[in-house]
Amino acid sequence: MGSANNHSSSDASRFMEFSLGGESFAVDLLLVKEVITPPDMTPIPKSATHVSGLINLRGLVLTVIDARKLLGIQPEKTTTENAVIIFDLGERLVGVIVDSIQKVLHVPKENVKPVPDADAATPYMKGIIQFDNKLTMLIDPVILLAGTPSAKHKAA
Amino acid sequence: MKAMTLKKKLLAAFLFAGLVPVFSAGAYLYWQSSQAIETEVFSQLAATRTLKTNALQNYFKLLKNQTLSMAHEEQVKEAFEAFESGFHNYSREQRLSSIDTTVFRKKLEDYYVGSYGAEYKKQNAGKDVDARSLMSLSDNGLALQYAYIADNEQALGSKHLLDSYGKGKSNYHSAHTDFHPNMREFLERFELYDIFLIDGPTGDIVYSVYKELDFATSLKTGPYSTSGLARVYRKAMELGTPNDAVMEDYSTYTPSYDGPAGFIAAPIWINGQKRGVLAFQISFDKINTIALEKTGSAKTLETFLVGSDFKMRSDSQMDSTNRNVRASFRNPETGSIKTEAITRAIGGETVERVGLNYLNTEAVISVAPFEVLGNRWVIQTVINADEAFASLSIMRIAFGVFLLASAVIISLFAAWFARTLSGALSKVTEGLRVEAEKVATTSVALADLSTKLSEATTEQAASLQETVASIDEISAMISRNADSASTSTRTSETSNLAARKGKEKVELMLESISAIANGNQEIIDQMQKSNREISEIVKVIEEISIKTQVINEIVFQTKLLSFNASVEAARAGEHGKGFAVVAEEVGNLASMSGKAATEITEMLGKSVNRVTVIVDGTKGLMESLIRQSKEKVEQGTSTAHECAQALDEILVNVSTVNEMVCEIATASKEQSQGVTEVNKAMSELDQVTQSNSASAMESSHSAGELKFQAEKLNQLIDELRGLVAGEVSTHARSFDEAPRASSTPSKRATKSQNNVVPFRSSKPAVKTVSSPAREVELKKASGISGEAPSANDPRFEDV
Repeated sequence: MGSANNHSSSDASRFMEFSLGGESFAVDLLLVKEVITPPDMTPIPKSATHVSGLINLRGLVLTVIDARKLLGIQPEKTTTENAVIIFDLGERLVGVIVDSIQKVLHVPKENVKPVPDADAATPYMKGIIQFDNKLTMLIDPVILLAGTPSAKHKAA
Repeated sequence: MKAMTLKKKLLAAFLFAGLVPVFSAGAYLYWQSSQAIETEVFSQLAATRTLKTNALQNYFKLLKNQTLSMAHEEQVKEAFEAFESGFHNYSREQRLSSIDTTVFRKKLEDYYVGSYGAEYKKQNAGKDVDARSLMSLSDNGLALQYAYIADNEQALGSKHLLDSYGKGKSNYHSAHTDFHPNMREFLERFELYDIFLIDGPTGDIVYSVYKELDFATSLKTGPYSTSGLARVYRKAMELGTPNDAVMEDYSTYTPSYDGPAGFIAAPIWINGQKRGVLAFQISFDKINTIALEKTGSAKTLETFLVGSDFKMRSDSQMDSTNRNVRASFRNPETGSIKTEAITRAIGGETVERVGLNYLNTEAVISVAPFEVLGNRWVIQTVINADEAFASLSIMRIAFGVFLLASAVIISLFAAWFARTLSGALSKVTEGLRVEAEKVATTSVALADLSTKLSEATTEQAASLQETVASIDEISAMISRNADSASTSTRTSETSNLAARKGKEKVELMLESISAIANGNQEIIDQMQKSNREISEIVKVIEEISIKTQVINEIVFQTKLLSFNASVEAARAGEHGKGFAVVAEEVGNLASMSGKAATEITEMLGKSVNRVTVIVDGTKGLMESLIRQSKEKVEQGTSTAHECAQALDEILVNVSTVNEMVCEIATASKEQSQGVTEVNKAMSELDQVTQSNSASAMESSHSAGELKFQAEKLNQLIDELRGLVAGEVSTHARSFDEAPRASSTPSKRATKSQNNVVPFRSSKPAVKTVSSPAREVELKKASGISGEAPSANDPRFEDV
C-alpha cells in the first residue's frame, strides 16, 4: 500500500503522524530532527506547567514541552509507546512529548487541505491531511512552540 | 474381831502398817540425834572449861612469878630494910610521950569506930564490929597507924595516895617517900589488892600500900594473928628455898571488912638470911573477869570456880546476887554450891553429866578439879539443858506433828479404800445374790422347758414323714430339669454357629468399605496432581506473555528507528528516496509484528482465564462429590461396626446361656444326690428324736440339782456379806425356813422367799415331762412312719 503511494505521486510530501489523547496530529517530516524514547528529565523550578524539563541529547541541552498540556488535551494513560519528538526549528532544538508516534505519512500535496474558515481555526493549524478516509490535523510546530519560554527568551 | 466391819479392819491394818515403821524410824533417829547432840554439848563444855582452866593457871603462874621476882628485887630488899628499921625505931626517933600515945589512941579510936565501923556496917548488912578489940597495937604500930591512917587526909579506901607524911621527920617517913610511889605503881599495874612487907622475926607488917587496919600490926601477937595473911606469913617463913612461893586460899579478912581475901607470899632473903615476907592480896576481880568471859553465843553457858569449902571463887552468872564471891563468904548458906557433882570434883573426879544444877534446873554440867598453888578449887562449866537440847525439842515436836499427820492421812486413805473396797464387794455380793436367784428361777423354767421339749419331739416325728413324701416329688422335678437343660444346650450351640457366620460376613463388608475409602483418596490425589499440572501450564503461558512484552518493546524501538530513518531519508532529499521506502517498510513490518504480538497477548490472557475457570469448577465439583462419598463410607463403616458389636453381644449371651444351662444340669445332679442324703438324714433324725425325749427327762433331773446348788450359793454369799459388812446374816437359812426368813425386814430375804415357792411346785412338773417322751416311744413302736401328715397342711402348697 505504501509502495503504491510512493509510486503514484512524485510530488508527494512526507509527514510524521502522532497521537495526542486519541486524536491524530501530523507535522512536516523535515522539521523533525529525530525521535527518542522519553529520557530522564531535569525539571525546571517555577517554569510553566507544560514545560516538562531539560534533557541532555548527546551533549546538547534542550527544553522538553508536554504537548498535551500545551494543547489542553486530556492525556491518554501513559503507555510504553510514549516518545519525544525533537524539532529542529532552525536556530534551536525543542523536544515535545507525544502519546505515540503512528507512522510516516507519504501523501500527495492535494490531499493536504487548508483549514476550513471555521470559528475554531487556530494559528498553529497549518491544514488538514486527508488520507485513507481519515483526517489528520497538520500542525506548524514553529508557531505552536513560538509562545514557549525559550522562544520568547530568544526573541527578547 | 469377827464383829468388826471390813472398814474398821482395813483402817486398823493400814494404821499399823503405816505408823509402826514411821514411829520406830523416828524414835531411832531421835535417839541417835540426842546422843550426837549430847556428845557435842559435852565436848563444847569441856573445851570451854579447859580454855578457862588454862587461862586461870596462867594467871596464877604469873602471880607466883611476880611475887618471886619482886621478893628478889634489890630495890624491894632495900625498901624492906629501910621500912623495917624505920618501923622499929620510929617511937624512939619521934620521942613520943605517953600523952602523944593517948592522943593517937583517941584519934585512932575515932577512925576505927567512925569511918571503918560505918563502912563495915554498910558492907555487912548492918552488922556491928567491935572496933576497939582490933586496936591491939604496939607503940610503933599505934604511932604509924595514927600517922598514915587517922592523920591521913585522904578518904577511906584512898589512903594509899599519900606519898609522904609531912609532920616530923623520921627514917620511916623518908623511906616511905622514897619507895611508896614505886610500890603503888606496881600494885596498880598488876591489879593487886595490896602489897605487904612483913618483918620475919616479929611478924610486924612494916609496910602496906593501902594502909588498911592491918598496917603496922603484928601477925604474931596482933589482932590478925589467925587471919589468912598470918597463915601465909607463917607458911612463907617455913619455906626453905628462895624460889618458892605459897598461897593462902580465900577466907574472911577483917581489915577488908570481913570480905574474902586470898594471899600469895614469898620470903625476902637478904644475904642468905630469911629476913621477912613479901605478900600480895589477890584481886578476885581479875579471876572473875577470866571466868566470866563469854565464849560462844549460848545464853545460859557459864563457867565459875568453887573452892573446897564450896564457896564461890568467881561469880556465877545465873545467881549473881547470892552466888558471887563476896556474898558467898558473907552468907555461906545461900552463897555456896554443894551439888553432888562439885563434891565429887573436890574429891578429884572430873564429872560430866546431865542433872540438876545449883538452881535445881536441868542442866548439862562439866566439872573438874583444879589446883591453885597447893589449893584445890573446882571449875564448872554448865549450860541449861533447855538451851543445849533446843534442837531436840523442836525435833520432838516436828516428829509428833509428822506422826499425827501420817495417822490422819493414813486414816483418810484407809477409810476411802475401805469404802471403795467394801462398796465393790457389796456390789459383787448383791450381784451374786441376784444371779443365784436367777439360777433358781431358771431351773424352774428349765423343768417347764423339758415338758415342752418332749411334746415338740412328738410333733417332730410327724413332720418327718411329711418331709419324706415331699422329697420324692422334688426328686422327680429335678430329673425333668436335667432333660430340659440338655435340650437348651443344643439350641444355644446352633445359635452360636449362626452368630459366628454373621460376624464373618460383617468383617468382609468392612474390608470392602475401607477399599472404597482408599479409592476415593486416590481420586483426590489424582485431582490434586492434575490441578498442579494445569497451574504449571498457566505459568508457562504467563512466561510467554512476558516474552511478548519484550517483543513489543523491540517493535517500538524498531518503529522509532524506522521513523528516524525516514527523517534522515527525507533530509537526504532525492538521494534518500529509496532509503525512505525501506525505512517505511521497516516501520510497517514493525507495526505488523507489534499488532501480532498484541494479539498473542490477548489470546494468552483469554486462554489463562479459561483454564482457571475450568480448574476452579472441576475442583469445587470434585470436592463436594468426594465429601459426599466420604460421608457415605463413614456411615457404612459405623453401621457395619454396630452390626459386628451386636453379633458379639449375641455370642457372649449365647455362651452365658450355655454356661447357665450347664450349671443347671450340674445343680440338678447335685440336687438329686442331696435328696438321697436328705433321705438318709431323715432316718437319722428319727433316731435323734427318740434320744431327745430321753434327754428331756434327764434335764428335768438336772433342774432339781441346779436348785439345790443355788441354795448352797446363797449360803456362801451370806457368809461373804457377813465378812464385808461385819454382820451375821440369816439369809442362808431362808431357803429352807421360809417363815423365819420373812421375819427379817431385808428386801433380799423376801425376794429369795419368792423364789422358793415356784421351785417346790415345779417338782410334779418333772414327772409330766416324762410322759410325752414315753408317748413318742410308744408311737414309734406302733409304726409312726405310717401316719401321714394331714392333707390341709400348709407346707404342701409350697411343693
